[in-house]
Amino acid sequence: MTAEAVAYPEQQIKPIEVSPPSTRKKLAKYTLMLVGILELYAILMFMLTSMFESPPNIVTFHINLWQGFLSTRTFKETLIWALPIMMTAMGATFNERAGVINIGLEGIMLWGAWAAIFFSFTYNNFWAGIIGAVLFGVAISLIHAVMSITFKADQIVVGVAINLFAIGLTSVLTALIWRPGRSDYAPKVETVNFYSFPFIGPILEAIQFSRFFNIPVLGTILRFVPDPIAVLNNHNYILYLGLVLIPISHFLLFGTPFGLRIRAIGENPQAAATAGIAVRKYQYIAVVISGIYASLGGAFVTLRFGLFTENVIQGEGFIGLVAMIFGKWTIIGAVLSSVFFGYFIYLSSGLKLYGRLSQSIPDPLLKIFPYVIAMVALALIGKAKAPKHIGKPYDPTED
Amino acid sequence: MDTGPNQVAIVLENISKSFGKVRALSNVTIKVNEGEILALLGENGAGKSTLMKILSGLYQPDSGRILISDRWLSQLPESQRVKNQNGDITEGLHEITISNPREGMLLGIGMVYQHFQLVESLTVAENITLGDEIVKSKFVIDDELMFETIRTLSEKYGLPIDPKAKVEDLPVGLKQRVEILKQLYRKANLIIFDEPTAVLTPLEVEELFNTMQELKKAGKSMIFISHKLREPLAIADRIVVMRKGEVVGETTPSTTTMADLATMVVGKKIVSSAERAKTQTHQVLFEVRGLTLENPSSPKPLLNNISFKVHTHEILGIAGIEGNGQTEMVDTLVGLRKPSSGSIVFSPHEGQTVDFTSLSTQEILNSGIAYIPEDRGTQGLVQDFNITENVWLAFHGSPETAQKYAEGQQKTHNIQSKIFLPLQLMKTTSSKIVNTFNVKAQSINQQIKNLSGGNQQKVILGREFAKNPKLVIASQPTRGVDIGVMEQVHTNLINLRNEGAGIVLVSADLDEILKLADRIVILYEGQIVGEMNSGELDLEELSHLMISGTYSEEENTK
Amino acid sequence: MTEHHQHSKKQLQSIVTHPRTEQLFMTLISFFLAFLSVALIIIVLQNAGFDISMDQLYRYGVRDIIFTSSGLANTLYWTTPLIFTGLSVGIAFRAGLFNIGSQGQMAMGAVSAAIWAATIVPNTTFLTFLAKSPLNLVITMFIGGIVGGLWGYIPGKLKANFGAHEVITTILMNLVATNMLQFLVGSRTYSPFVNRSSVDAYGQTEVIVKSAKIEPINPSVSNFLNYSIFIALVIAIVMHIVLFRTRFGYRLRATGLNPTAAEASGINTKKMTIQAMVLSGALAGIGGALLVQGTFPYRYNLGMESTLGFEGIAVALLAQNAPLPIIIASLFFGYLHQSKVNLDVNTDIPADLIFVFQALVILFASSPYLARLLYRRMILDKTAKNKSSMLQSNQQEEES
Repeated sequence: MTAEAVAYPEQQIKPIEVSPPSTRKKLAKYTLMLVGILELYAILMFMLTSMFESPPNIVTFHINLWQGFLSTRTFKETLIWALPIMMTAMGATFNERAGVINIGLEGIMLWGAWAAIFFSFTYNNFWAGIIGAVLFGVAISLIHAVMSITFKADQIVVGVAINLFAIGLTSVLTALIWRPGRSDYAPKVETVNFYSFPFIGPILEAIQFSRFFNIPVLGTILRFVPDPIAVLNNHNYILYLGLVLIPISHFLLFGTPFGLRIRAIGENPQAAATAGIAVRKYQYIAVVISGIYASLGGAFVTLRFGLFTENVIQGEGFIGLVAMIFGKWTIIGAVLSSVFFGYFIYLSSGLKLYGRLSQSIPDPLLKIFPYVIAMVALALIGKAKAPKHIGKPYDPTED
Repeated sequence: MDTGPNQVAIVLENISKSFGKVRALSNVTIKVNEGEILALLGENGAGKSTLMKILSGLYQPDSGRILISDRWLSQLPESQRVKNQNGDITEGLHEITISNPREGMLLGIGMVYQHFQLVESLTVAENITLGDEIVKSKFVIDDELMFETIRTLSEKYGLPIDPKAKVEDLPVGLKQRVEILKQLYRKANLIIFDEPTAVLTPLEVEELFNTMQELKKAGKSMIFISHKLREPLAIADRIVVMRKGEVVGETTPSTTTMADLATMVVGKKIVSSAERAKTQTHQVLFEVRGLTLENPSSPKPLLNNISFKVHTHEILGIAGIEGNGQTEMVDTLVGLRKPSSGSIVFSPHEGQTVDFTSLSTQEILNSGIAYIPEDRGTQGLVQDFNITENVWLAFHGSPETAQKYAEGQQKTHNIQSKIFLPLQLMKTTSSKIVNTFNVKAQSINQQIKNLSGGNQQKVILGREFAKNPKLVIASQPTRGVDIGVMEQVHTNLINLRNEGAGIVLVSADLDEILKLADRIVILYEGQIVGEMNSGELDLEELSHLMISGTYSEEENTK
Repeated sequence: MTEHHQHSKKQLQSIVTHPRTEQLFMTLISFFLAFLSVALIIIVLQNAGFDISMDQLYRYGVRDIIFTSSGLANTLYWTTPLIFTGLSVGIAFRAGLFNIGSQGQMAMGAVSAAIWAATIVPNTTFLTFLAKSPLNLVITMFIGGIVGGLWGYIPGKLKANFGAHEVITTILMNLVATNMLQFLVGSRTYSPFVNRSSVDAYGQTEVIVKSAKIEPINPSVSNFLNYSIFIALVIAIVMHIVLFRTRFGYRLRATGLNPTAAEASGINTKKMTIQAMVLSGALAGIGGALLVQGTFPYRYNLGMESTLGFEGIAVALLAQNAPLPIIIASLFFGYLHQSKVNLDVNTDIPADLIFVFQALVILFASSPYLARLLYRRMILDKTAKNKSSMLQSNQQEEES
C-alpha cells in the first residue's frame, strides 16, 4: 500500500535499541555501592560502640567487622534469614503482577509457620508439616482472593484483616492445643549434608576453604572470602526447595503463556479480557501461588527448630513486600533484594553474637537498622515500576 | 468468491438490554452482509457501544437472539461448531450464544476498541498473540516463531509493523494497526471498529479507510461505529442510525445527505447560535516563550522550546494528535509541572504582568484564569463530593471571587475566616451556577457522580466562567458530551472571546478547533511545528504537520 | 387499608432506601458476618474436643460487663484510647492514606509522655515547677502528640516526596517503635528510662509527677475510668468540625477522594499528605499519653498499648471514618476489649478469640460490595415484596 509510506516514513518506526550497558560495568557499579553501604554501616557501628564504651581502635575495629561482613558464616546465615523473605517476595511478585496487592502475606506466613508445626506434631513427620503449611497457604489466600477479587473489597484492608486474623487465631489454637504462647516440639525438617554424598562428597570436603587457612598468603586471603560450598551446605529441604523455585518462578512468569497473561492482567485487565482471558481466574491462581510461597516461607521459620511461638513472624512478610518492590516486580530482583535484606537482618544480631561487636550495644538499636534500610530502599524506588492496574478490583462492567 | 455481497453474515434480532433501571437497548435489530461495511451512527449514549459489547460477548442481552450464516458456521473451529449447531435454525441462519469475549473471538467476531485494549509494556507480537500464544512443547512461548508469524501476517494484509517493538513506543496510528492485526490473527470474520477515527488525523483516517477497503476485498464484514457524519458517508455501504437505544433509520451513502443524517441522529435540527464577532483591539494577553520541559527518563524533552501568544478577543487552537505534549503543556501552563526553562507571562491589564513560572498552581488559578482540565472525571471533579463542594474547588483559594460572582457588591457573608468554610456563600454560588448553566440535578447537595457527563461538564464550565476570567485554558472541553451540551460549551467560549477574553483551546477534535479557533498552532512531539490563521487554512498541510511535524515537500520547494 | 397506613409504608420505603440507612445496615451486616464466623469457629473447636464453655463466655464476656456498673465503666475506660486510634486511622483514611502505624504512634506517644512526666520534669531544674503546675497535664498530653506526630510525619514525608507506600512504611515504623520501646524501657542494663528501683522493674518507667495524672471519675465504681474520656469526646467533636467545616478539612477530603482533581484545583496534595499523617500520628500519640496519664499506677509499662492501635482500624472502618460515629464504634470495641481482659483474667478461654472477631469485622467491612449485595437481597427485596403485596391487597380491596 502506498499510503503507508506517507503516513509512517521509515525513520518513524523506531527499532528498539538493544544496547544494555555492559554487564561488567553494571556489576562494578553495584559492587561499589554495596561496599559503600557496608562501610557506612561500619562507621555507624563504630559510632554506636563509642556511645556505650570508650572508642575502640578504629583500624582493628574495621578489620574485625569486615571479616564479619565477609565470613562464610555470615553468608550461610544470610541465606537462612533471606529465605522466608525471598519466598514471600517471589510470591508477591506473582500477585502484584496480576494486579492484586496482598498485604496479608505476613499473616499467611504466620499460618504457614503454625500449620507446619501442627501437622508435623500431629503426624510426627515434617513432610506432613510442609504439606499442611501449603494447604493452609492455599486456604487463607483463597479468603483474600474471594474478598478482593470476587467481592471487590479494598485489597489493603483485606490484607490487614488477614494479618490480624492470623495473629489472633494462631494464638487461640496454640493455647488450646498446647499452652498459651508456644507449641510443643515437633519433628523438624531434615538437613542435607553435601559431604556425605557418594563420590562428590569427599571431593567437596577436600576443597573446603578452611583446610587452606594455614597456607601463607592464600590462607589469609581465603579468611576474607566466603566459601561458596560451605555457604550452600547443611541447610534443610525447604531452603533448597526455595532455591529451586527461583528459576522455575522466573521462567513461569516470563517464559510461559501463563506468565504473559498474568503480566498483561496487572497492566491492563480490560485488554486481557478482550483477548479472551478469564481475568479473575488468573488473579485467583496468582493469589494462591503467593499464598503457597508465603506459607512455605513461614514453615521454614518454625520447622527449622520444630517449634511455634506466638507471633513468630516479625515483619518478614512486610520486608518481603519491600524486597519485591525493590526488585522492581521481577523474580530475580525480588531474590536479590531479599538476600540484601536477609544479610542486614543477620548482621543486626550475628555481629554481636559472634563477637564482632561489643556486648555493650543494646540489641534493639541494632535491630532497627534493617527496618530503616528497608524504608530508605522503598523511598529510593518509589512506585516507578508498579503494574499499572494494581490495587483496583477488575470490574468487567466498567468502561 | 461465490457469494455476493448481499449474503447475510450475521443478524442481531430484537436485542434488549437494561442496566438497573436504565434501558440501554430496546428491540434492536441489525444485520450485516458478507464483505460489507455497515456504519452504526448515533450520539453518545445512543446504545451503539452496548450493542457492540453484546456482540463481542462482554455483555449478555436481556432478550433477543444472535444468528450467523451457514457458511460462517462451517468455518468455525470444531468445538464452536458443535456447540452452536443445535441452536435454532431459520433460513440458513443459526442462533448462537456468546457468553464471554473468548467465545465471541472463537466465533470470529473481533472488535477494534476506541480506547485501545493493549498492554503498553509488552511487545507488538505479545499483544497480538495474547490469549492465544504461540508455544513450543506446550508451556514455553516460542519467541522466534511468534515474531515470524506476526511478520507474515502483517505482510499478508499490507499492514507493516515491527513485531518486536514495545507498544508504548508506537504512535497512535500504529497502535490501532496492532489492534486490527490482533483481530486478523484470530481469524475474525466480522471486525467492529468502535469510533476508530476519534484519535486519528485526516491523513490517518484516509489510510484506515484504505485498510478497511482491503479487508472488504478479503471478504471481511465490518461494523463502523461513529458519531461523526462525514465518515460513514465516505466509507460505509449502509448506514444504520441509533438513538436512545433504538434503531431510528437505515440508509445508504448514495441516498442521503449530511443534513438528513444529522436530523436523524439528533432527532431535531441543530442550529449554531454564537458567531465569532469581528473585533479590533488586540493586545497580547498571554505569552509563552521558550517553554521547555525535560523528560527525566529520556534525553528527548517532553516540551521543546514552545512559544506562542494569545491576544484579547482571540481563541488560539492547539491542534495535534493526542500524546504530542498537549497534556504536559497544559499542566505546565497551570503550574502542575514546573518547566525546565522558558517563561509564561500573563498580562491581565495593560502594564501589569504575572510570571506563572514562579507561582504555585493555587496562585496561578487565583490570578484570574479559568482552567478546564482534560479529563473531567479524574482532574476536574471529585466524584464523591456533592455539586456545591465540587463548585468550591474553583474558589477555595480565593473565596472573594465567589463572593463577587454570587453577591455582587452586597458582601452579606463574612468570608474572612482563614479556618472555617463559608458554607452559606458556597451554597449561594453553587445554586447560581446550577441555574445559570442549566445543570440538570435534583439539588445542589446531589453527589456529582450521579449526574450525566454533560451536566458534570456544565458544572465545571459554570464554576470556571463564574471567575469572570480574562484567560481560559480549556483542554478537550467537549469530550464525551452530547451535541446539545457541545453547542452550549462552544457558545460560551465564543461569547467569552467576544467579550474580550483570550482562550487557549486544546482539542483532539479537529472539527472543534476549525470551528472555534481564530488562529491555530500545531503541536508535534512537544514542539510547535506550524501556525495558521483560520482564514487561510489548508487542511492537507494541517494534517501533514500533525502527523509528521513538517510541511509537505511541495511546500518546501515553493 | 387506611391512607395513613399506606403513607407510613411509603415512609418506611424511603427510609430503607436512604443511603444513610444503607450504610448503617452495611456496617451491621459486616458485624453480623463476623459474629457468625466466630460462632462457627467456636463450634468447630468444640466439636474438635476443645473445652470452650459457652457459660463462661457469656458470664465473663457479656454479663459481667453489660450488667455491672464497673464493667460498663471499664468499657468506657477502653473507649478513650479507641476514640483516639479510631480518629487517627479515620482522619488518615479521609486523606486517602491507610495508616496502620497508629499502634506504634500510640506506643511512642505513651512512652514519651511517661518519660517527660516521670524523668524529665522532676530532673530538669528549670522544669521542676511543672511538677506542681496543672499546665503540665496538657503539656504531657502534647508531648505524646508531638512524638506520635513525628512517627506519622516520617511515613507521610516518604509518601509525599518519594511515593513510598504508607502501608508498608507505617508497618516498618511500628517495628522500629517496638525496638525503640525495648531500648528505652525494656532492659535494666542499658535502658535509659527504666525504673530500676522497684522489684518488678522489668520494662516500665518511673511514676509520672502528680500534675500530669488524670484522676478516676468514681474510684468506688472503677479505678480505671478517668476524666480523659471527656478529652476524647471533645476531640472527636473538634475533628468532626475540622473535617466538615474548615478549609483544611475540605482540602484534606478533596485530596483523599481525588488527589488529581485536588491538585488541579490548586491544593498542594503533598503538603496535605504530610499534614494528615502528622495529625493522624498526633491523635494516636495523644491517646497513648492519656493512657499513661489516666491509668494506675501512672507509668508506662511495655505492652500497655495492647492492640488498641490495630483495633482503631476496625473502629474507623465500622464508623466509615466519620468522627461522631467513631465514638459509638469505640464504645462497642471498648466493650470487646474489656471482655477480652475479663476472659483472660477469669477463664481458660483464649481471649484472642475476641481479637479474631475484631479482625473478621475488618475483613467483612472491607467489601462494601459484599455488604451492599447482602443488604439488597435481605432488606430491599423484602420491602419490595411488601410493597407489591401491599399493592395486591389494595387491588383486592378495590375489587371488593
